[in-house]
Amino acid sequence: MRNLFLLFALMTPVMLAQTSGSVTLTGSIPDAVSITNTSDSALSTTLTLGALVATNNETLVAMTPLDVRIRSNKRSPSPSVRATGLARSTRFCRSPN
Amino acid sequence: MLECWFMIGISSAKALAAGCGWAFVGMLTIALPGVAVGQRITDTSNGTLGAAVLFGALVPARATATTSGQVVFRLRNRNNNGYHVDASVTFSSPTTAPLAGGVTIAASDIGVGITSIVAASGVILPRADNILSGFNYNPSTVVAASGVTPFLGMASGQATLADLLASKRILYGNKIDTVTNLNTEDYLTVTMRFGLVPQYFTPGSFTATVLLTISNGP
Repeated sequence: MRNLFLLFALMTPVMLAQTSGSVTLTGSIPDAVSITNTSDSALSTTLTLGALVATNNETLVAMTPLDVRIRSNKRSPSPSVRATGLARSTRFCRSPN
Repeated sequence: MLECWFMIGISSAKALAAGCGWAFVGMLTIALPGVAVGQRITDTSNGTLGAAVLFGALVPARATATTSGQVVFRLRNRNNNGYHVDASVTFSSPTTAPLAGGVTIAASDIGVGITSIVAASGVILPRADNILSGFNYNPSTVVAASGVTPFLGMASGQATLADLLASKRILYGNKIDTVTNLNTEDYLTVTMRFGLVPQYFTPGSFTATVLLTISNGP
């Protein structure tokens, strides 16, 4: 036999398994807007004008200013304002002669 | 299961006589079931740790509490010099809307801490497991008084993922047990928590991958 085959094994344990692990965190940030009062609570306010006595001048009845907080992560939030309330019709009558 | 590398060399007698001629013909990878390795990090089912923490849609709210998630994993080690765990993070946060002067979520907005280490019944006592300063807190208990990110960073005792953008040794300790078999009570159970506060970040999403590696030695 011309050749001598020699089997040589170098056995070195290599910890390929379970020496590392991963944790993947994911989340999304949606478009969002909000409007609150200045305490960051739900906005619900009643503005009272009081007794609106007819006068003969042009002075307006001032309302208490209302501050609100508007938040958005959108580029152009478009808040809209609508005033609602009870309306009562007024009739002016001429006194009979 | 242990995987080992074998190198098989073949040479001729003449070549040997000439003092040269080793020819390595290949490498084999084999598995040796039942042979314990020096250290392991696994999930609580002793499987590969590949956990997901899903925060979902983070809708801003009038809240001061953090939204939190956690991962629980097991550590095994039989090295006389103990063990240590390194952690590193990759973070991305693609946006779906113009920044327009706003703020995009960053790694520093997500708090991270180790909230518990529990030894199984077979673990060597007493324990001397040490959490890196700044990581030994619970992010889910931090109050966001102003509604924005409250975490101050590792140096102030409230680590965030930003502190892991460069790898850190977040945990180390003494030898856990003499074996690391998966079928014995020879592990530490570690709970790691994450927290963040939903707020008006730029619309989009984020993905953070935390890589945990256990090694021998303190």
